Amino acid sequence: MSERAATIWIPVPPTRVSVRSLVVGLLVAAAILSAMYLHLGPGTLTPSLAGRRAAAEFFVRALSPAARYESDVMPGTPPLLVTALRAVGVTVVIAASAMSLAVVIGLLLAFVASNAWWIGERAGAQSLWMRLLRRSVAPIAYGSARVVMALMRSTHELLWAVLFLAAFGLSHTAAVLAIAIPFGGTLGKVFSEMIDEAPRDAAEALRGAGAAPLQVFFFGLFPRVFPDICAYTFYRFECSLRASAVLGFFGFPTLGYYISASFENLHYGEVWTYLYTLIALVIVVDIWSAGLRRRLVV
Amino acid sequence: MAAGASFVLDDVRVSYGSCVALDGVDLTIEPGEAVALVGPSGAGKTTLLGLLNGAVRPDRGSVVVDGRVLRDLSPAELRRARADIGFVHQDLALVPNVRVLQNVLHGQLGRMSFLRALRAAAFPPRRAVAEVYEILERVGIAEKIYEPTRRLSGGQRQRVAIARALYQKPRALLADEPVSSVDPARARDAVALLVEVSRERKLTLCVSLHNLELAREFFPRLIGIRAGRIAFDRSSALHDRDFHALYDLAEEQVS
Amino acid sequence: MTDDAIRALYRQRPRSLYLRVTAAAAAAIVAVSWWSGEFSLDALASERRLRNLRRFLAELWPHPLQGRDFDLSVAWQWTRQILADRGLAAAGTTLAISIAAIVLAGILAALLALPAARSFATPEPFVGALRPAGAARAAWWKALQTASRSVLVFARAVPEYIWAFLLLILLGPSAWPAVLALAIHNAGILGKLASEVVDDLERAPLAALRAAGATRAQIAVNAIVPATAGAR
Repeated sequence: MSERAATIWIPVPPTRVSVRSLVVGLLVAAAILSAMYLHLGPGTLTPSLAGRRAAAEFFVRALSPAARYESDVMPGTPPLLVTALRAVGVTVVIAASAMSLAVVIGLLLAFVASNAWWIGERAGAQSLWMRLLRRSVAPIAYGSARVVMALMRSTHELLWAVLFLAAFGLSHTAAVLAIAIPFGGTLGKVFSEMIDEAPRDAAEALRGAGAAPLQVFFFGLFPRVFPDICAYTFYRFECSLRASAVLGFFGFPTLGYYISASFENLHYGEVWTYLYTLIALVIVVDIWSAGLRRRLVV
Repeated sequence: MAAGASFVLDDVRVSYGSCVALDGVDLTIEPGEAVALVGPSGAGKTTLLGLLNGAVRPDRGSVVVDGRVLRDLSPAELRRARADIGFVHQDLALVPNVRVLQNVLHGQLGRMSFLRALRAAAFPPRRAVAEVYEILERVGIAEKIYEPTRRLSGGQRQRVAIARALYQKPRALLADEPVSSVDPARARDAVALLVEVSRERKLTLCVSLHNLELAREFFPRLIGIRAGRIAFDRSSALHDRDFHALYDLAEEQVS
Repeated sequence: MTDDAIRALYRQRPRSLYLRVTAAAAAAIVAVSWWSGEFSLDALASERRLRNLRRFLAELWPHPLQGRDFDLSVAWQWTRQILADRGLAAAGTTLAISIAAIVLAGILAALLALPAARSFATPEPFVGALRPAGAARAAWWKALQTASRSVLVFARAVPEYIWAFLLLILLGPSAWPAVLALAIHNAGILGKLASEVVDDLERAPLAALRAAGATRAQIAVNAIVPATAGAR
């Protein structure tokens, strides 16, 4: 008995190009176009002999960071490590002040710019006046909050720093404001999205128990987003530390100032000392925030 | 003390867009009654309970609670009316990352100003904590008062939800499918608890259930809902023949 | 008596020392920062400062328009000249550098995110083992994870300016130093975020794949990449 294999016809689903693969494809194409526009090629990627030597000078000092200044300094200057620690202190102080301000700004903006607050009472009679108010004021407040946040965060903190440098000089105020404003905008946007995406079952239950809208938000919705808000704030704190360090390149007394000064003087050992302090700072915050995220599971 | 709340639904129709959830529903629940809503999923039980609670607004007809038409109440009055009705949700709707004490304390939010609530959340007054402890004792999980709610089992969390509803000091207790997320033994305990507590405190009770046996065992009055309409409304002292008819009704809808 | 019971339960309530210490430390740091920072108000409102600010803002206004009424044709002329001179070319270069840099950063971050993820870079990812892995294997995975995370930290902690300068010395003037500096720095950031997303993924589907015998690479391609691609 011979067997003949039966032919089975399987319907093939029509090939659909998903939006995601389209976007990725466009991005890669744009990257290739950009590379061509910038004349990026493997030829320019090979380092010159002189370049290699100069870079090697820098990287070799990674293994032997300076413990003392590499040239004569003015009498009365504190030792190198003390300067490094002081710079760390100023960096942290500026970052912490900026973040605390940014969190306050962000929470306020997020509250106004999220949907949760404006979804008001649906049942129950309301006067025409109240309904008009809700229809007109709410969208305006929502819209302006979003615009303000976008403006705040689209300008880089270094540009804000330039503005505040003119106004307040090289003071802590200028640095703190330069970081707090864009970070406040970012926090506001992210927090408002978290609030919008949080599950609302508990909030609805509290409304059923007769709670007022503010109570519904604060006791029913806010506790749901609180762990995410904490985790993201900690991540942003690490970013603010790096931003605070970089502001030093402009002259503020943070780590960046000393890094750039030593770099320009070709004191690579000192540069590595400062770099290691910065890296240590970032590592500490990284480990801390990882531990926090593990324990903040909802 | 005021007796249980009374509910009257008068030719009520509720629709969500093009989907009609309830139509032509007339219902009267006397103060202190214990009523079971039976019917398959999607029949409209949750919507009906939502009407009683003031959460759902009817497109047509009126909902009258204790002689007051809900539609005519101002938002503040409506909130006060809702504070008198305790609701146990199907998915419990608790805040998972706070302690049980906090979740139960939420029951009194409808009767406090925001600042007082804030202070009570941060520094719970001893009398409030003692009251919460008593309620938790009544539902059987007193020792969990300071546990984070997410660490409790499903059955325990359900009791926290019941405790929260009881802490509202309501005049009526509504429960939406309190048995679907727990195992059969717990299910029976949960329903028994609801019925006992309502009887003790003279609350009007309305519970929606799939399970006809449980409904018949615990509730003197059964209301059957099918496809948005009330199919029957009779006492549970049923003739076996009627009972089988009820079963067929339920089976036919479920399949 | 109930009061005693309540008090006993209160004392035994589950507390997280880590969270409390974190909250206290954060509060302390913020308090010390505001107290010790030099935020003297008279420096804010000093006459010289305000004059500087006013002059700065005044000079933001285009030069040909200063000190006269607004004239659309003059403004347009000024805009066109700036754009034609350098503006458009500069904008194009900026865009090109950033696109090339971010795509490169994405690739690097994707490569490093998985070895840096705690849930992935372990001897027995997602599922417990019948036989606990030997100390050598556990150490090797831990070393891999730490090394990846260290690379990411180093990449993002070192300011882009330094990277750019170094690469400029190394590679000479071309667009590569800018692109690579941005790529390295942002790879550090994106890699960290991606590894956190991988850590936060639902365990169940991944554990199911692992229990069915999938290798790490197979899990990565079939479950992790689709899940993370759709993540926030």
